[in-house]
Amino acid sequence: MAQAMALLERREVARPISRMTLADFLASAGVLKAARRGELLVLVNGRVVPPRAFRSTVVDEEAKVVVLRPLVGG
Amino acid sequence: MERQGIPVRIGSWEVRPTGRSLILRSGDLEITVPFRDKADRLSLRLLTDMIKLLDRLLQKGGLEFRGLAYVKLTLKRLDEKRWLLSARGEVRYDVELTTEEALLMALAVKDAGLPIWPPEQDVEELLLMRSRVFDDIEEVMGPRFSALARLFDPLTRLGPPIAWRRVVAVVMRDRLEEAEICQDGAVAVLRPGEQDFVLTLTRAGGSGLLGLLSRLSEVLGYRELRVKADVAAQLLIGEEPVDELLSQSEAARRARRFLIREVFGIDVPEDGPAEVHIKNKYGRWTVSLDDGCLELNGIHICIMQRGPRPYGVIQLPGIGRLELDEMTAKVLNAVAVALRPEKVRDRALKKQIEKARRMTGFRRILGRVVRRLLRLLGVRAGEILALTACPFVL
Repeated sequence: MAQAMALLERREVARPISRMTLADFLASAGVLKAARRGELLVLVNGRVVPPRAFRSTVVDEEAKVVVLRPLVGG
Repeated sequence: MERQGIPVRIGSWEVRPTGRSLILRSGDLEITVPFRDKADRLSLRLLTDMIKLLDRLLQKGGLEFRGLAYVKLTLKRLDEKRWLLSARGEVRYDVELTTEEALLMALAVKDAGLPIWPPEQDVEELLLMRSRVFDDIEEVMGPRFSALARLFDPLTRLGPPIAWRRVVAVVMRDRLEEAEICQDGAVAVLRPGEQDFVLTLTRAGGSGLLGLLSRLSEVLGYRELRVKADVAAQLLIGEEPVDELLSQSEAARRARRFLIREVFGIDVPEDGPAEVHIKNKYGRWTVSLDDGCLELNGIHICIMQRGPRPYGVIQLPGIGRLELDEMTAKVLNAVAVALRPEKVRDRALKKQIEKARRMTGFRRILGRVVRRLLRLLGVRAGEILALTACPFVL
């Protein structure tokens, strides 16, 4: 029973996102404002996406998206 | 305490150093405390501190400690011979101990730098906390530097530290059935194994390193991670946060290699050293998979992540969305810098990159000049290479 519950929970968390714009994706992650201000590095399928293209870029469950806070020199 | 084997009496306790251990006896109780160096070098003050802690625990019948991570440890007497050690927070377990084990654990946890709760504002407390700072200096910079640093500290501890990781690992190996490690929804179970400890990932989470490891466990083909006994000891008493303790594990390296391949599409070997190498017109970049340290042509580039959480968010096919832990975000960030150094906007970072690039240019020119000079003199480069400690100059 415990194993079955664990499997269900794993599936729940790993559920893929549905098709949405990059702006919606960033908003759901709570980072849209910072990304629009250019404070974050946004890559979709290995390419940097500038803030002006957030609305026109579509991400689905096959997209590889990474959002990073750029490094600064110490 | 100058000579080995001569007992000292403090209160009801007889204290006898033997090599790297200290034997403490009081009535029927006898415990052997292992140290990281010869126990006959302990100051009388430290001995009285230890005895004070043991007497306090026996008189009160319980103590509470707080870890640096979100862990609360409670030692409580159940009856004449049985004690209960409970951990709550990021680490959860209950184990039954004998009185001797409870005393040993109290000494070990205190020496690991965990303060007793509620905190005491006395000098002894401060003294033991400072000793923890010197343990960290020793770990990072070696025993010689630590010994030198101790010379300049007016509140120096005057004695070696307890081998607390060993004490915790030995007691827990005997007594612990399993401990739950929880972090932002991700759950793993830590159990004593044959030699080390085994961490089984049971529930995937949405953030943190444990969340990442559990989410990638199916893709990378592991459900169980081997955890060294000393790391397990740190985890069990909450001495360091879970992310920091798992950050240098083989599983974390594999997960980061996988993410670099997926996100940047570059070829990263499955095994080998915990580094990623990237070559471009700037030269050769090295990114450490353990801590995200960045080097360009062998010159260290000092980098920092600015701002609060989230450090990074990732979405991958079949894995879903995940908030990255600080170190994994730093590793991916360092790879992004190495792949696109011309896109770096931060002035301080740009300056360092240009300096490292120029240095290499200078080295290359110097190498060419030296090679021509050697040719003129009729000396073969190979002969010099055998003598020099810096072959890259040639």
